[in-house]
Amino acid sequence: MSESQNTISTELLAKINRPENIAMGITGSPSSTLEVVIDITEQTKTDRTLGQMVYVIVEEDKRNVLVIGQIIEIETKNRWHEDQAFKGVIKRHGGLPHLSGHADNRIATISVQACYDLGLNDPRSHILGTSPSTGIKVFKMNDSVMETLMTNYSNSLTYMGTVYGTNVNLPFWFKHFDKDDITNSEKGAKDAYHIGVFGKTGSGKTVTAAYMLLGYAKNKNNMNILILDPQGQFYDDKELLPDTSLQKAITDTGMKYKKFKILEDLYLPSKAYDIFSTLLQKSGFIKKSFNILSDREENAAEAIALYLEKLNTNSQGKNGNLNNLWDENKSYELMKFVLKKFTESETSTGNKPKVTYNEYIDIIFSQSARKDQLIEKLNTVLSNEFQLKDIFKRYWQPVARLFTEQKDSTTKKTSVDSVIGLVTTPGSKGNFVILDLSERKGHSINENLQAMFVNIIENKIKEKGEDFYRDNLKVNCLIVMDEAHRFISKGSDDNQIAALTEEITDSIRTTRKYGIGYMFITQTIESLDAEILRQIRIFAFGYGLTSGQELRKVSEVVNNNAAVQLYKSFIDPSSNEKYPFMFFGPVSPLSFTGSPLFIEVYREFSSFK
Amino acid sequence: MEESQGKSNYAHLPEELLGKILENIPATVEKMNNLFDVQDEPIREGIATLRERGFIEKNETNDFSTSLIAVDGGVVLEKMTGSDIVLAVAVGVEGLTTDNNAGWSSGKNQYYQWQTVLSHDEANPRLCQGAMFLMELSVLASSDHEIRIMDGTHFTPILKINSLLSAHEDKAGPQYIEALKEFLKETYEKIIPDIPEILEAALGDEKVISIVKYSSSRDIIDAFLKDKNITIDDKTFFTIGLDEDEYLIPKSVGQSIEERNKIWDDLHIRCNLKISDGKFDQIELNKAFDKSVNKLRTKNEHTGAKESELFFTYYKPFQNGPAYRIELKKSLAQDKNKFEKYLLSIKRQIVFPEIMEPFPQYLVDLMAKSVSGGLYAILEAIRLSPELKLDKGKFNLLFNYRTK
Repeated sequence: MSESQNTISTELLAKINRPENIAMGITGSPSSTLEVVIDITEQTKTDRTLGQMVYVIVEEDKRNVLVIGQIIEIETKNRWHEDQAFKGVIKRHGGLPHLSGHADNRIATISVQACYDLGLNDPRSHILGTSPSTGIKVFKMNDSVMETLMTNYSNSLTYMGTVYGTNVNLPFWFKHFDKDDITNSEKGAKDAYHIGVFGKTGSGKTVTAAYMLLGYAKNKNNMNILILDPQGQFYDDKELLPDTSLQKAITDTGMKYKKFKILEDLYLPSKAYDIFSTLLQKSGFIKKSFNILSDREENAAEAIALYLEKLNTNSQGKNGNLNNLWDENKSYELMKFVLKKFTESETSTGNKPKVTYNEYIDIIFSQSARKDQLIEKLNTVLSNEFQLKDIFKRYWQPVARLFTEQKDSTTKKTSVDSVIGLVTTPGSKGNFVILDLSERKGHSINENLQAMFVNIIENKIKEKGEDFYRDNLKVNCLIVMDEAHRFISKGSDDNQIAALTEEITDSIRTTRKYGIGYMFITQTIESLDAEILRQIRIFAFGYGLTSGQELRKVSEVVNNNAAVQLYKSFIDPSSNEKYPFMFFGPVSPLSFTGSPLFIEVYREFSSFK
Repeated sequence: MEESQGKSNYAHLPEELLGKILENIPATVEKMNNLFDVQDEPIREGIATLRERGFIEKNETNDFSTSLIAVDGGVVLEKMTGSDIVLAVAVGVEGLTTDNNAGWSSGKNQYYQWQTVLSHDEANPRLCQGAMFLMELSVLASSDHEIRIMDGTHFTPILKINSLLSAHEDKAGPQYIEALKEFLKETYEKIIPDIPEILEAALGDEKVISIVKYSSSRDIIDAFLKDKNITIDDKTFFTIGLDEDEYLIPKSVGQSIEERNKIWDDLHIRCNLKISDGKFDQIELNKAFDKSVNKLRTKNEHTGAKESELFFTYYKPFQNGPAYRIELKKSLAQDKNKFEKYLLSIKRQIVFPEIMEPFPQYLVDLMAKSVSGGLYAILEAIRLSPELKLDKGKFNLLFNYRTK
């Protein structure tokens, strides 16, 4: 290569070495390959420094290496003001003439984010092999240098905010979970990442998550996205993005936008008897009809599931098909059939007549007296038509409707399986699916039911993932869990939530290799199990995780005291409408050293690109 | 190694030594007690005598100035193998002021600095000390400030500058003279009139006063209170005897024969070295020196004893603080209003009890002392300089290996 050849590296060096560039600092001591101390120059001593992105050219193996970092700490030192004797002067005189202010030294700490070898035509990622020498000029990053540096990545970059406290656009990349797709210029990470977006209400975490999803949506030829939406915020598409709707923004990326309300638009599998019976238990059906102690309700639910399954098998699918319960008469008959089944018994003839109970009531009680009592209760219910219809209407049919194919007399629902198929069928890519799990129009859905749905979906996707894996394929799907603390709560008293927490914890350990990544959006990092936190690769911390416990967790993740201090200094966005975030993980070409990045997300969607 | 009765025959250093030193503290304290066994009665009597004679007054003025500086110098002589690195500085700093525009006007030097390398010579210390004092006087002379405080007594720079210029007596080699010439050339435009003017300003300008940190002078006691059996020095005497804001009405130096004989009678600066390659009149220079120094002398070559134009006072600005020995020029001593204004100006610069001397004097002392840090930087820079043309074998011999 001749020296005059115009390459990205030479263009960069030319921009960096412009004589009009004003150095904001000089590399100082002590510095390492991860943290560089700089002395702020007199000329820029009053400039805003904290959060500033800076660059410095250092020499390594006789090559120029561009080191980029963010200032995470700034300190003023004035030896005269630290002297005890002078403190008396300051106290009385109000300052030290010619020394106060004038003799200040500002020392900043740069957290090294990325390094590029400029010894080649194109800047190449580089791991700093030696600490920077002292006395080298350090400059503020600007859009011009950044753009030149990112020339080769420009197709795969997402800009969702500016470097904290500056106007410099900060590049992010959201790679899909498979290999690079060169044809469509969609970069792949070859592995799924689990993501955590944390922040208190009003911290901007939903907007940030929406921007990140738009970043992932650029991989429309390789990826699917499924959003589990317990509050309906994504479904309603209100205030997700500033000045526009998520639907429009997603559609503009070329992704296929679909949304469903699980209660109204989806139905559960016809043979999910265990779920059906558990829901009956939760709905109060067993309590009302069997009138037994609560510790036996679970046994009754188990017995119902067993019976229905057998009924369906024995009738070769004609009876006990949960998807056919749209017809209320049929559904009512099935309910009566179920209750009646528990009352059936046979009494043998002879000197000592012996009563033989059916196998289902045996599951509930072992003592005959109890069984007789239960049979009597059930017979009383069955003989009272009015009570029976009330139980049907209030407890049985709402559960049954979750399994019916019909939405109303004319429209059909979509099966959970086909929704799962949207995001897990080989060749079916570019689907952006929102599942609204929220309570609607009189449905008594609760988090329990949400958890159940999530469990079903989660299990099915995992099964698909295993199938893909066997065929050496990747699902390449991002599952988003908004308000994740609703589903994942270690030590929850609710069995469903506890089971789901365990399920997800186990799942995220294994699904990465299937190309399934989770994005947890939640207000609290504390609620997430330690194992889940260990598996998360990309963290986005918004304002508000400042309580002792939460901050400790953040510190454990980031392991950089100065960065945590900077995070702590975030101002409540409600006071200035700026949404600062600390990103940690492989989320930007500038974050490969593992140091956190600090950004302020855009307040106008027009800036997003 | 044998041990008897659990006692090692090798001391645990430095702890054991330090323990021994601490054990001796009570004896040291006792000796201090004896030294400070000041009899109150003779002092009270002495002060009463001075009051009766109208020697003591109280400063009642409200007038003061914040246009005030203090000047000090620092010198470091680093003895290396075969050579010495010499670094001398003189700096001036401002006192406490609310005037944001205060400072040194352009063309006036707030500091001077000189550094060189010399081969070992016993005369090297006098060279760098003399240079330092000359630079101190230069800062004092060139400032525009109304009050300029020199650190120490007036006679010290006279002694040191004389020593600098009369090293011939000590057989200073050609290297000494070359170095001196180099210093003078780097620092001053012309030896004459620059250096005589500096001396004249420092020793004659009433704006230049000096405050002495340590003084063993007994000029007042020996001159006026000999019969009182006072064994301490003047500074301690006035510290104990004066009340807040009281001062000794300025007296010319050399009130006692002892003091005159010891210091002021024969004060002189004489140059016996050829300190310039150019046209240079040594006689003219010595005449100029004599003119300046003569004002301070207490003896006239022809007429015998005479009054020095240098005066001194003791001033106690705070009841529980020390009295300060202040040397001042005759014109100031005789202008009571201005003199008292100076005293109040000084008092306002003392942040008592945190800092027991005028703020700029304290600060400039720190600044000047920091010169040793500068020498370490010079040494390191020399050591690392690619321009240093020494072969490897000699390189390590160049620097000394004393424990720092």
